[in-house]
Amino acid sequence: MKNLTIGRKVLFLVAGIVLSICLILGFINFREASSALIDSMELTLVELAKTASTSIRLKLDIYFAQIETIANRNVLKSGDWEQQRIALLEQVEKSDFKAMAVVDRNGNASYPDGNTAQLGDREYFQKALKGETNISDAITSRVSGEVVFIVATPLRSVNNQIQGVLIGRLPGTFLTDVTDALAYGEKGYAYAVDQRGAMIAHKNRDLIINKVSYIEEAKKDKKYAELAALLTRMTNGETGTSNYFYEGEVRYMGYAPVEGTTWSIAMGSYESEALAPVHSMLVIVIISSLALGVIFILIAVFLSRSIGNQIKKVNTQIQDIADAVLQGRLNERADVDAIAVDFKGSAESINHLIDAFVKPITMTLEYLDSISKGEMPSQITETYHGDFNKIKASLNQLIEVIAGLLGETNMLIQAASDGNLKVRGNTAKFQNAWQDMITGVNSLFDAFVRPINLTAEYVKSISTGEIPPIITDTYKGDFNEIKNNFNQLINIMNGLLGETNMLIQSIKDGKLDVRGNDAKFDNAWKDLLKGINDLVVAFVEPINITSEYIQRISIGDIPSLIKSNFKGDFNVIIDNLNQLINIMNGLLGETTTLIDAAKNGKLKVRGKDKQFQNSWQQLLLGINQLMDAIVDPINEVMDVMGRLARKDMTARVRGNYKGDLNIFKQNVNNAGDNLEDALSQVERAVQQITAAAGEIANGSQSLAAGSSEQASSLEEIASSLEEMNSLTLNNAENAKQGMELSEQSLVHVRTGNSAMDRMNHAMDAISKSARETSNIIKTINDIAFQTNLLALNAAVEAAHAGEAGKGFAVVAEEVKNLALRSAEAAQNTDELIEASLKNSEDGAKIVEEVSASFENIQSSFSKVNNIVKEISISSEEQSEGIRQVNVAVGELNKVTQGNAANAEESASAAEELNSQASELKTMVQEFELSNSSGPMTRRNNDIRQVAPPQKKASLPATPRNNAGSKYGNKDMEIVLPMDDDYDGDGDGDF
Amino acid sequence: MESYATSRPIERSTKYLTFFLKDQPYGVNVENILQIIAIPEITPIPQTPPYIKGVINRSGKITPVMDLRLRLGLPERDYDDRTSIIIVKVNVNGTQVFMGWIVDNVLEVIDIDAEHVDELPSVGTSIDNRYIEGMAKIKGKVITLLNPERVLSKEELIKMKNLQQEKSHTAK
Repeated sequence: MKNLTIGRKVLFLVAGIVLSICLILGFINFREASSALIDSMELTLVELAKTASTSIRLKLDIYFAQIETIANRNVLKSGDWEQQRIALLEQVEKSDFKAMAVVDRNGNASYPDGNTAQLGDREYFQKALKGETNISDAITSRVSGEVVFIVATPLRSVNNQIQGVLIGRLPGTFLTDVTDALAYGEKGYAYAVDQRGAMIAHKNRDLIINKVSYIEEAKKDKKYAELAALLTRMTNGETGTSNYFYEGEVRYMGYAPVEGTTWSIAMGSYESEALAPVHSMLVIVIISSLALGVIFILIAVFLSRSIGNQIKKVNTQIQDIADAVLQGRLNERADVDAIAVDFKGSAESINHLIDAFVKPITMTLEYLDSISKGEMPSQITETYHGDFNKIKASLNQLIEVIAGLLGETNMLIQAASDGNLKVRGNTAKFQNAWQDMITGVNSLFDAFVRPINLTAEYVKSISTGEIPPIITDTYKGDFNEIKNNFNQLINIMNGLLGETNMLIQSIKDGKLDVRGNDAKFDNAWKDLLKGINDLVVAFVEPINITSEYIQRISIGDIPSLIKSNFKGDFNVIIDNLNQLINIMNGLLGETTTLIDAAKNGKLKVRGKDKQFQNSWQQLLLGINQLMDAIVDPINEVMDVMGRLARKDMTARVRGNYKGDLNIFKQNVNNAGDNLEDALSQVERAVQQITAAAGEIANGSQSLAAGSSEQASSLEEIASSLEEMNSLTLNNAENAKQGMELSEQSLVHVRTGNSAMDRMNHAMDAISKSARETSNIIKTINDIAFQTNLLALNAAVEAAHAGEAGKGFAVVAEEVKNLALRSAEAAQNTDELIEASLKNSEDGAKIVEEVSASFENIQSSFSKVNNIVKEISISSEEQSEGIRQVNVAVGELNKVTQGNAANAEESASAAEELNSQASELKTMVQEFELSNSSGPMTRRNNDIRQVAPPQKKASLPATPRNNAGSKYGNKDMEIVLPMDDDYDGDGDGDF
Repeated sequence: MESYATSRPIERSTKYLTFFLKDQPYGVNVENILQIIAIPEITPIPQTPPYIKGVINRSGKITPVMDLRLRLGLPERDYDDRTSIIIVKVNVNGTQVFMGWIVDNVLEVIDIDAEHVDELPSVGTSIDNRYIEGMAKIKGKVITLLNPERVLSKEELIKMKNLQQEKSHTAK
């Protein structure tokens, strides 16, 4: 395949696809058509089989009717063989039966031609004897070899008794006529089988004569297995289709049973026949597929050739251009116009490719040329891609480096001419050889600049007093002389500084006798040191004197005044020292005076501050203020305590003090507050006690009054209770009598009710038997009607008989009259019974109503009885309750008496409490409290208002006491008559 | 049975079977009567005129039955225990056709003298009256005497006959 040209490939592909599609479509078509044909054939076969079966059934119905009609003929019923024989001969001529015979009950058959046979064991004979007209299975005649069927029907006598059987012989053709007439296509055929699967109709008559059953054959020969399975389904009475392979062909069968028989009809056809149209279609499909294939191949050949030519042309063009480029002729291009439209694109692409190479190459050449001539071209800005862009970048880089070198050199020259010696070329901007070049230029600069910079630096240090170290670096030639001069100057400066520093350090350390060594220096340097030493001596002497005096003052040894002479500022120092000594002496005197006064309790003495100035005056003022701060609070506290002692509880320390003095003030004030609070609480308590005492007194009074009322009510209650008890007992007795009465009535009502029930049952029974009688009458009526009909028939028969039937007609008339009379009687009876039925139903309804009202009465009585019972029970309960109430009243009385006594006691206690409260009030009143004395007066009044009720409350106490004892006695009199079950323990138990 | 029909003596009086239709008495010559039966189960036959109620199985013989009320244009009514069927035989082209007439109530067989029978009054003579043989006056009552061979037309009778045959073939 790989070596084939495109043309050939297209050719094979197209031919293959076209052929495949045609063949696949053809095959699908073939399959669909086949299955549709088979389906429709199966349907048709079943329908044909059903038609055949219906047609056979109809035939059988006709034969059955024929033979039944013959058997019903009077001649045959007569039992007279001669008559029967003539009739049968006649019928054989007229009907489809080829022979007929009369069979007696024992199975002896007589044919009109004189033949006889014994048929007693035949199935059709047995069935006919039982009254069923039927047809036998296929019978092969021993004589003619023909297949026949026997139709048999019962033969009855005149009185309808089965006296034998009438049989008729049918030729087998009545079945084969049907099956032979059926056809399907050219070869389709029909056949019929009996219940064993044996052929009873078939185009091959031998199969019928030999009673071939393929179900039996299949047991011997496997090739009949499929056919046998089909036959088995047929003998089972199924309807359907089936196919099987037999004698080299697939056959299809539709089958249906014959109704009312054990037979089944099959309609068969061959698959080859059904599919014949499809086979021819298949051939057409294959031929047209091949024809289509050839056409397509021809078209493909033509197309592939024209494409090949075009490709060849393009190849030649490409070859030419390649040769030109190889030879360096970069301006040559493919001739696009000479190429076919389809390939113009690729030729143009090749031209573009060559352009892409040629352009960067020419550009690079131009740039390199101008650089070599010293012209600096500008950067390349045109856009290139990929590797072409790398060429462009490299060229741009080269231009940039050369421009950078020129720039650096120019910059260095400019900096040196401006004296800016620190500037160097920037090596980092360049690489490799370019970098080395800039580094060389920088080294040259360094050799000049270093010694110049050092000199400038040292001169600057010395002028600012900062002596630099000796120069140790190595210089050559003229540079070295400059270095040595510098080092000598540095040594002299270091020596001077060392002496001066030593002097300053000694003075700092207090060593005032040290001096500078001037022998080490010459000339002006030596004079400078001598002057410094004289300056030190002038300062040291006055300092020593001042130091001694101040030391003495500091240890408290105040010296006498100094008398030595100094000059200028040193003399001012001595005067000041003398003044300090005077002030110290004055201060000591004032302090001693103050301390002595305080010791003697003279708190008002103070220091004379006016004698001193400034800080010293302030010192003495401070001491005076200290004294004031301590003395003021002591004075105020003394005053406050005095007021408290005089019962003025409002006195407090008001001054504003700090620290411990404030705590002192707070403590005194807290003591005052607590005292005042306590007294206020006492005052409030007295107020509350007074109010409570009043309330107690009031309560006691009303209690006493209540107790008195209670006692009188109790008396009334007790007497009504007695009355109530006797009424209740009476009530209970009445209720009991009522109950007995109502129970008796209930018994009567129940008796009545059960009587009604029995009556109801009796009515039901009457109604039921009436209905039964009615049914009997209906039967009688029916019989009468039948009898009437019989009589009428008899009358008709008699009329037919004419004169001979006259006597019979009279009898018939009589029977008819009898029947009419009995019908009439039955009708009358029926009406009577209907009436009685209705009466009994009415009766039943009345009984039901009466029964319902009896039930109502009974339920009302039950209710009355229950109510009376409840009255009786509640009366007893009431009586019991009254007894309990009586005892409770006794208890109440006792409690009432106790209450009265308690009220009296609490009244006197309240009185006592009130007098004590007023005493306490007077005591508290003497203190002056911050919430004034106004309320005190009011409270006093309250006490006086409360007191009178106490006296009133005590007055009823005595009568109440009397009343209590009186009622108590009365109580006992009431309670005793009823307390049969009073247990006497006094706790109210029963 | 057939022998009775042939040996009828010639008399001045004729025997008629009387029956009721809508409370009116009718009569039919006993010569045309085969049997009177109570109403049995009737097998309906589709696609027949409404007065044909179907066929009955008369001890194996298939016989068509018709409602005489409907045939004579009287209102139909439900059958009761008096409803009866009169099996009538008529001659059609030399063969006998049997059919059943459903009537309200069969009465009796009576003798009617010819002198008591009048022709139908000429008033209202129309094609509908062709089945009336005459009007008999007995004890003050008028009995309509029917001609069974004219109750149905010839064509109807042939159809009836066919029905009888077809039915006897297919019944089993």
